[in-house]
Amino acid sequence: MAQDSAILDEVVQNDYKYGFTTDIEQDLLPKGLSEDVVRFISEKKQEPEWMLAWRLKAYQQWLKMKEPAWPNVTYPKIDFQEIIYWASPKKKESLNSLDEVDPELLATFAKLGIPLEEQKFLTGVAVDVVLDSVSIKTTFQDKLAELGIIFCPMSEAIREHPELVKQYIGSVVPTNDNFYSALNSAVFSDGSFVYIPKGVRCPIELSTYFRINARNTGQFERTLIVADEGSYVSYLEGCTAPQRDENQLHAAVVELVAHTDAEIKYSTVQNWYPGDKEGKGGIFNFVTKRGICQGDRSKISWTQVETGSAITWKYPSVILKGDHSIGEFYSVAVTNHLQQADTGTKMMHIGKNTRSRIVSKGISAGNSQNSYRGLVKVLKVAEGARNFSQCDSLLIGDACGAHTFPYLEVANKTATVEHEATTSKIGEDILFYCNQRGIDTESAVALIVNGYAREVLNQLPMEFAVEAQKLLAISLEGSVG
Amino acid sequence: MPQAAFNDVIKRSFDDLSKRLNGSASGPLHKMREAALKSFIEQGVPTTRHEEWKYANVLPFIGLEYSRVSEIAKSVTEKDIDEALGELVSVLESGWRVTIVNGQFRGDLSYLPAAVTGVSVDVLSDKLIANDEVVRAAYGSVAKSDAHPFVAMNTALACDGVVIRVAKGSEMKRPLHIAIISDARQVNVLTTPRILIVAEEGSEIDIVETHSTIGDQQALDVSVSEIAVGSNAHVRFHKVADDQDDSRHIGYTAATVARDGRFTSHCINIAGNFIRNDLVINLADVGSQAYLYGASVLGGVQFADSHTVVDHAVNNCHSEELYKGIYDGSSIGVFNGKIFVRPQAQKTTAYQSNHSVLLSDKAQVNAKPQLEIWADDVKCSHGATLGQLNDEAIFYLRSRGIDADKARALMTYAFVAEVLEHIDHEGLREFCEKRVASKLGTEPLSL
Repeated sequence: MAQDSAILDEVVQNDYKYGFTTDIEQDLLPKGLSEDVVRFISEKKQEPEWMLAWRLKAYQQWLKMKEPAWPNVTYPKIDFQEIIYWASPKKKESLNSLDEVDPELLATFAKLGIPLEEQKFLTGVAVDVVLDSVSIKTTFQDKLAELGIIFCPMSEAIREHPELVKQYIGSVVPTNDNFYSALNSAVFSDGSFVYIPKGVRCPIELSTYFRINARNTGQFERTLIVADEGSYVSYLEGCTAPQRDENQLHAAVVELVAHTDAEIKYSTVQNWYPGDKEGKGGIFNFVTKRGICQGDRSKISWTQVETGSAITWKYPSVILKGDHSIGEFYSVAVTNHLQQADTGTKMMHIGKNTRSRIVSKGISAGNSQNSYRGLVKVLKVAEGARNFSQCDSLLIGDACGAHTFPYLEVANKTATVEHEATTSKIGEDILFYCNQRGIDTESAVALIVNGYAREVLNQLPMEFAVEAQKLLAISLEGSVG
Repeated sequence: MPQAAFNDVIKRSFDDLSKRLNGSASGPLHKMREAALKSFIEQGVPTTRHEEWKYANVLPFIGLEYSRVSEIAKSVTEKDIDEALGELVSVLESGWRVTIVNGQFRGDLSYLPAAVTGVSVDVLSDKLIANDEVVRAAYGSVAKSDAHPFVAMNTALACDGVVIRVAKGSEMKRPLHIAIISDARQVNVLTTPRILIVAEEGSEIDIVETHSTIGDQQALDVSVSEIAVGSNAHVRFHKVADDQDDSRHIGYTAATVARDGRFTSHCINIAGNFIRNDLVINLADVGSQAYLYGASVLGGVQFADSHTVVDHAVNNCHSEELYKGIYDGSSIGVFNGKIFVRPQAQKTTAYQSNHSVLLSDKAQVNAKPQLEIWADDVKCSHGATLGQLNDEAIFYLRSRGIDADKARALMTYAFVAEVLEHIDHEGLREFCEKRVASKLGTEPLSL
């Protein structure tokens, strides 16, 4: 046990590795939100009139909405007038080559382990780098363009492909869906837009690295991915953020649309600053992520590895509208220190013979609270729906909590819905067995935690799996095992 | 606004009750009532926007004009009760019966164990509260008013609380039947029966609680039962909802279990229009155990909502829970099972499972199995399945010459029988099996 507590001490004292701030000059709008701020953002991004109207409508809806209080998390009240809604790095006119990018910025990415050049030439991953609010550089765009794939910053898409954006934006997550989606719709700064044309299989994994970088700026990303008939795309989202004291709000919206026979795979590794050991600072991550399987036999798969943020509050969901469509949700959520996570998914079965699978693995350590909240809803018309959910919690230390709030609502007799959940710590008998086979306790714990999360980690694309394992190591394993 | 109308009914009833108290308005019981009324007004009538009442909509019937007293209730006879209880009378004939009509204890209709030592039945009074430490400690604290709006309402309006005490070390061989009757022959009635059961150290008893409505008017029965299980005591609690088709019942049962005590409950929902049962168990001391079994067999437009809470407050406690449901017609079933494991409750084992089968296109089921765990050295699990009968099993039965309908009935019966077979009292078990079987169109099987 002495060894165990030594291990635990190490976990608890493990500090945030990626804590550093990059000094780049920024354009800042004064704090606060008003109609003028919305107009300013829209103007700054040279948006057409309809986009401004859309933003203003969302802003009006937001004014009437109340902040939700139902999640199983506690945090100081957010003053929405204390947030800076616009910050963009001061930049030169055009950025056609990497040479024009601020060298300090390049150094930042080097520190994060994503040298742009190397990625470009060696890994075959196109990186749409978002530093605060403006997309700096998009690689591989020309190559993708050959296939007809559009992969560009949202602001560019609004200008270049207004018909597509107009058709799909807000179609999965309406502006008035919830408090934070309304806020995001009003003030979203940028994000990624992806369109895969009919029958195209995207040859590379599309990736965006987000980084919150300016002091006191809320980051409001807006991502929209549309996979047309018979297409396939795998999208990677990853985040790290510098260490700072004040809480930062991040309220992103991600919308996915999969048409007939299309497949979208969306993977996230989230490692924002979780606050220090006293829970001071850290990111509030209040995200709305939803996909719709619009056409028959379409598939949407969410995979997430959540290790960061002071508070994580998100439910990547799938609306299974097309017949025989498939929704998947794989999640590993690690909380440590005073982190809180309330995460899960919603699967709405509407089409016939739709299937969904939920695998959620929670790991709580320190004084953290980790909740799974999920909804599986089978509508009256959803003949032959099938769901399997599994949510397991692993507790490390006696001061943390693990909670499960699954909702199962079935209104069709042909549905089969199964849910199972277990909560336990690493069994002494299992450790004993490993010890007996000559594996020391530290390695045994590492082995077990790794195995425990394996089912989800296996879902990640190769490029991400490596990073995810590293993150698990930083969050827990480096000290536990 | 139905809520406002209902609040008015409650306030008026409370004032009437205060007037009738004749001077005892300063007693401890009345102080509790006042606090409870205040709490009820604060909490308000829950709507479906309230998380705990998400699927249970009380608004359609809460706004009716309800009377608290029905003159005719005094004329309820033995025969009326026998008719209301039906076959159950002969099943429980060997035992004792406490009869409560429209919330008032009726000694003349009860069979009490006068000559038997071990069990005593009293009406709750200020005197009893003043003199009896155990009653004082338990009443209103096992079931807390601020936890539930209808507990607050019941506490504010309950006048004849019945206190059942099982003396130290007494093993009751015969079951005690609490027959709760709502007399709605003349007017719509709102009844608030209140029971307190104290099972002292090392005692053992079977309790059967039933709710029956007589008459054609509407009855809303809001009952609260508090059970204090002493150390090493074992209470087997049974609640059978087999009332008139249009009856409405909101029931709250709370138990607190002392060291090495055991509480077993069986909640069987067969007939009734709106059934809401909250079962809240607090495993308060080391080594205590809870076993919860429940079955709902619904059809037509029935609604049954089972809310259970098992609160592991200390270490080394154990709980097991099995709830099953069969839903036909356009019935709606709800299961909400919570398990709390408090930070100090190490070495807890808690298992819960919930299974439902839908038999018709219009039936619905909503399940929310919930675990909240703050201790690490625990083994907790829950499983929930919602589905249909196994086609292959039905095919097997058909291949043996059993027709399709019969095969389905057999399968559904066997599905529920797994819950029923845990009932220890043979007569009651057979009664439930028979009722369930007849509702499913088959006969009980000896499995």
